[in-house]
Amino acid sequence: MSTTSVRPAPTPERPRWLLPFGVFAVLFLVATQAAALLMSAPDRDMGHLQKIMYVHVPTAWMAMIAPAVVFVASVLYLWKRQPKHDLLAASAAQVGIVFIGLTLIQGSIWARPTWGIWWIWDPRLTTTAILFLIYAGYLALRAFSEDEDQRARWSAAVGILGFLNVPIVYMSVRWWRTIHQVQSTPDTVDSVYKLGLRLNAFAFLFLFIFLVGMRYYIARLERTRLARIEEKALRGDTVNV
Amino acid sequence: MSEWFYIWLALGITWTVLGGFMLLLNRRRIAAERAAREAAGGES
Repeated sequence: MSTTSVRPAPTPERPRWLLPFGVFAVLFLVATQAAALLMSAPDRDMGHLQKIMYVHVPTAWMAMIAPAVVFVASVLYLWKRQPKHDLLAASAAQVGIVFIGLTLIQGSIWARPTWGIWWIWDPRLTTTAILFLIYAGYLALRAFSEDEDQRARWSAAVGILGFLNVPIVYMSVRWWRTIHQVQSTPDTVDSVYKLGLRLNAFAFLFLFIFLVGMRYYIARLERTRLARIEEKALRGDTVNV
Repeated sequence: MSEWFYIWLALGITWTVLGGFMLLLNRRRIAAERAAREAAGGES
């Protein structure tokens, strides 16, 4: 239980858009993944392995968008000191670490048949692994800190500093000699793959928004519950934690 | 191994991880909603 005073608040209502949007996001992702898998032509060099692009590249984009959300929410928290920004940052970090971890796993699977190895300490891979460790540290910091204000301030600092690694990850393929290809974007891939990449990117973005929205709603519920328990404890009522 | 092995491995892990994460979040949402209602003691 938190040791700080938490202002009691009404129980948050679940946003009406959340679950329908989640269903839409999942269905859209299934459709775009199926279309990419079934309709995408084999690449001249990589053959059908090119299809991994439709999960790896959008996942990697979400792995960079999540830290950006953490960064903005952390700055807003330090500026306005509103707990909702801290909860949003934490939610984006938790969803983000899933996408960063997936990016590393997918990249490793793609690397084996194309580069002949599962892992190499290449600048892109190494900076992405560092990104994973930064957000693992961010979440560990939150888990070990009892005081709500202190946790929010320290987390915001890590959330802001940790984001500095994102442009390094993005530009690593241009700044250093690397085995990894340059960034895959609709501008750098062949025109026959553009539509599939765009649609899958939107599908992953919708899923990301849903996941952060859901995690944020849960975080608000949990915070409100703690506030209620503290309120009852202060009144001298029996409290079940 | 066949290139399709790696394609299905990448897709399978991605879908399993994302699906599992969604299930975990949903379970946690249900638990959090119930706990919030109980903590409110019927006030909400």
